[in-house]
Amino acid sequence: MPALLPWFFVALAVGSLVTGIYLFWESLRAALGATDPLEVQATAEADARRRLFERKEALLANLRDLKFDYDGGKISQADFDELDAKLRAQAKEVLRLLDEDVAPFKDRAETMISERLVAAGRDPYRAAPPVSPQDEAREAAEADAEGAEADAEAAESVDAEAPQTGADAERVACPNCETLNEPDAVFCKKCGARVGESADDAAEEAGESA
Amino acid sequence: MPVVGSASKVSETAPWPPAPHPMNAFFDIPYLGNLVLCLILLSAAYTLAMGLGAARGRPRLLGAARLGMFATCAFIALAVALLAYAFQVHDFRIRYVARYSDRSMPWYYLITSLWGGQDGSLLWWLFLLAGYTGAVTRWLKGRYLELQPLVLSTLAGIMLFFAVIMLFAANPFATYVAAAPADGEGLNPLLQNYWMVIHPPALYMGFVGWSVPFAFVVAGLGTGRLHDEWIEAARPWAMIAWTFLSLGLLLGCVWSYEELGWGGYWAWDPVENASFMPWLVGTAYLHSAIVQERYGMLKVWNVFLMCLTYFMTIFGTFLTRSGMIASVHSFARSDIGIYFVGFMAIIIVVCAALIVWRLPKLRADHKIEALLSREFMFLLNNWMLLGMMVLVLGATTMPLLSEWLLDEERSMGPGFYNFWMIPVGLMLLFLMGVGPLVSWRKATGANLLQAARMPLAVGAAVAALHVFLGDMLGYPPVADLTPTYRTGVLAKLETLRKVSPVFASATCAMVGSMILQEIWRGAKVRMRKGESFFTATFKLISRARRRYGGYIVHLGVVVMYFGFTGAAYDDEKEAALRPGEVMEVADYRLRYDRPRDASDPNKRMLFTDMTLLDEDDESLGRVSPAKYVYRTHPEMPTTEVSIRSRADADLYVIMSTVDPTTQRATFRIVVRPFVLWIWIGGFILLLGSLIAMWPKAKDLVDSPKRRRRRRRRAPATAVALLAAGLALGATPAEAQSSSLHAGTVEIEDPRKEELYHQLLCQCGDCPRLPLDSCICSWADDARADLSARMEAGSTIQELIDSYEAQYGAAAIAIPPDRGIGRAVWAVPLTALVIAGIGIVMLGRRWRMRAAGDAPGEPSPEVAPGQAPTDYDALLDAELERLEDE
Repeated sequence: MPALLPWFFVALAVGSLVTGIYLFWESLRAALGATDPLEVQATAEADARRRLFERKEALLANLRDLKFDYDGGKISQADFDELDAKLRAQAKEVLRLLDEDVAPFKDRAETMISERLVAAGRDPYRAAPPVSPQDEAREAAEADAEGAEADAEAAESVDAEAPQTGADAERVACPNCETLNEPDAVFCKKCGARVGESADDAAEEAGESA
Repeated sequence: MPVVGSASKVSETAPWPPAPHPMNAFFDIPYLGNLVLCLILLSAAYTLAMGLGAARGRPRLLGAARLGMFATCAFIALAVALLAYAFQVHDFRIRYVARYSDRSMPWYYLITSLWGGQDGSLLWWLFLLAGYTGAVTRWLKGRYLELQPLVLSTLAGIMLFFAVIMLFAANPFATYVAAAPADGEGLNPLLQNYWMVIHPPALYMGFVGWSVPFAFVVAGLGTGRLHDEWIEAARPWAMIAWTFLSLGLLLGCVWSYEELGWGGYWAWDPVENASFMPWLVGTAYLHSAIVQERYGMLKVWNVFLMCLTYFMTIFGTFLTRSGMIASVHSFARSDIGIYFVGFMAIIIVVCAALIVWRLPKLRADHKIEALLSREFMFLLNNWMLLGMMVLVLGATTMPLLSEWLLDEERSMGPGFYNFWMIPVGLMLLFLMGVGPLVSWRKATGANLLQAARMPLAVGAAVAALHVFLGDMLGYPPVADLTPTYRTGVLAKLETLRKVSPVFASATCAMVGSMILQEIWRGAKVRMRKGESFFTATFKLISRARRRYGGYIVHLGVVVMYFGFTGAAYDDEKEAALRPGEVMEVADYRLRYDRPRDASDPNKRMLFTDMTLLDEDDESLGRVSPAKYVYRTHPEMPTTEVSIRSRADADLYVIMSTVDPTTQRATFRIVVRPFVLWIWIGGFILLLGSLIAMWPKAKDLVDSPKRRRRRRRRAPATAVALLAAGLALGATPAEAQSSSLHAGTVEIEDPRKEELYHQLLCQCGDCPRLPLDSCICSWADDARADLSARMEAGSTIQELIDSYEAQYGAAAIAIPPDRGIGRAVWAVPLTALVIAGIGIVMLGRRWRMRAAGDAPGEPSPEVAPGQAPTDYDALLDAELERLEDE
């Protein structure tokens, strides 16, 4: 081993030299405008979004710490109320800004979903499983808050939807709560009541024995 | 061809000197090395320019700056690889290699020799800076884009400075004008141990680490983005730097305790102080930053503290390297000083200009409204730590100051530092405990007392126990300490010093219970939800790592302070023994068995075996202090101390001399209580710091982009490993070495001991050693003379005065309390008192103003009061989510 050590340093030296020259060369190219290694424009937008996100996290942490101090008797009621209100106002503003920032993606996600539904032969405004489009879009939009994955995720969520809408025709509505269940379901996945053919059978039996 | 660079013996049949390594014969390493240094200079300058360009509105240049920075780091790695190679192949054409290594050294010491001397340690500093810079540049990808250009420029500027120094003043690749020597001088035996492998790297990681937060503060000031961004960005880096600095300091303490043969872990040596000062200011910064993050206050303080911390790292290294102040640590005196002075001047000018320019943006969002408030506690903390730093600074630079102002050189011995730092440290300890109990904005005295009820009771109980039972247990509440000042007003304070043990024990107990109480309270809140105690505590700490990590650090400090108190109870004995004889110190009995000879390729070892006996003369263990004589440095035998570490006390056995013919040996044995707790406390401190720094799992797995935060783990893991190394290293060990003249002198009379402690040996060879430690012949004569005069009737003070008259004020360990000797403590103290009065007056004014005043300007990034109320529900949901994580 000790005999190999000098060679190790030689290797390190050669590696560093080559890497250094390559990086310096790339740097010169970037300086002269031939490349944009940072993709500055897109990165700036992502950075701004990330800053908002981190600001939100910081404000939430501050709110939590404030509550903790208040619970521990470290801050008076009046002071707590004042500071809490101020922090909450700031946090709500950040949330609003985040939503605003994400709005174009939300709209685009909704447009894409509608297009896909139309292409699959479904009415984009038909009643869907009990998740409101608002919440859905918001969830999709919040996931988009990182930025670059927006398209991929919208496509994914739409893809996940497609098989569902296709099988919609065979689905069975629960007699109790109207939820759409799988064709072979025995009990409703939401309220637990009997559904489908077994429900009809049970109703008949109940009717007969009564 | 014989393979050179291997660890072992030189074969008798191989040619001498051995043929060079094949690569070395082909390439001219020294020439290449110089070329690479030029390359580094160019690359750093280029990156600096690109960064500045990007900051002035050409964002595309940021990409160029980043790549340029990576390239610079690669070139620095290249330079280090070349030097390391030169060491491994014994290229003695290079002066630095010949000076610090020889052919008999094993490969791992050949690596550590890289930072064994001035030039190489500068390159090492640059290398660590490159490591940090590479990491931070990678971390910055896609974030803090506005700050980034100036961050890169600042770091490149620092690299530029070091490249300039190395090229022009301390070139590690410099060669001999004449032919290369056949063999090198070898590394100082004092440095040939595993401590040399871990202490300097850890310490340098601490020093260099502060460059990164400094770069962030400069970027913040330069861009005017002074609200939160720079503090947020700098936070993880500041914590890493602080942790490494603490680790480096602790390792230094352990090393000197086990190695240097005089039984201490801190000597207030200038180089030790040089690393302590940035630690003090850095600690102040870490605390002060919390206030800015919470309430947007103390902005000017934070900017100032950060710049000062960095400045102190450079100043500290300047003190060490320039050789301007004599120390056991210092490198040889060189011309490098002037370059550092220039760099420090640039730092001061740039920082001052930036701060003054940005003063309007540094207005606080709120004002301090009450003196009894958490914000004010933090302010007090700042002042006290700053005050301690100024005190240490003044005393350390005393030789320079006195020479410049009074044309005579004086220096401050450890007695001075201990006199001041112990009580101030105690006050700081108290503040550390009380601070978290005080409410934000405005606390009431009643509230505080309510919170502090239990700890105060504990403190009082411990004080009472100490007073009544201390003597019986062997830890008297009033200690008989050697007075530092015998005349003047400070002599009156000496009486207070005597009572310090009981103050210390009471304060430690009180503060310890305050901290534990805080943790308990937090756990109790969680336990209401039905969690068990352990789950609650674990989750509590894990959810709020910064807060509770900080509390654990505080706990570590309390334990360390407890360890320090043991120094008041030192028991020491010296004796000359023949084999079979027994000596007793405190509660220990040791029997000297026999001397023993051994040797290895590097050195000859003279052991003296001793057995520790219990009351029945049964063996409790063996200790074997020794002397090592290194082949390369036969005139510098090192003393190897034997330490037996237990929770109640350390047994420290030094063998001063051994006569092989008569087998007679002289020993000095020191029993110091509680030393082990210092290392335990240090470990707790580092553990707390790790907890505070540890990134949350969600930061690591959240998204592909976020995965980069894993980089923070690497330093955290490194710290953990090194901390483990510390823990392992603190076990009873065979230690090595001492400085040339320091030894043990048999002094029976405590009055003479007190006198010799005050006077410094003037033989000219030893650095600042008092007469009770120096074993040279000059000191022997001086002691004989003083002893005779004391027996003839002179008082201690008369003898000190006559010694001073004869040899100058520089010959006294602690200058008398007049003139500059008084200024050193009077100035900081007066400044502190004036500041205190000023704050009280300001406080009154704030309180009167607080009623009718609108709060300061809120965060400029977000203006409140515009969001509709339906966001309340969303906000509450988000808060719930935070709780459930």
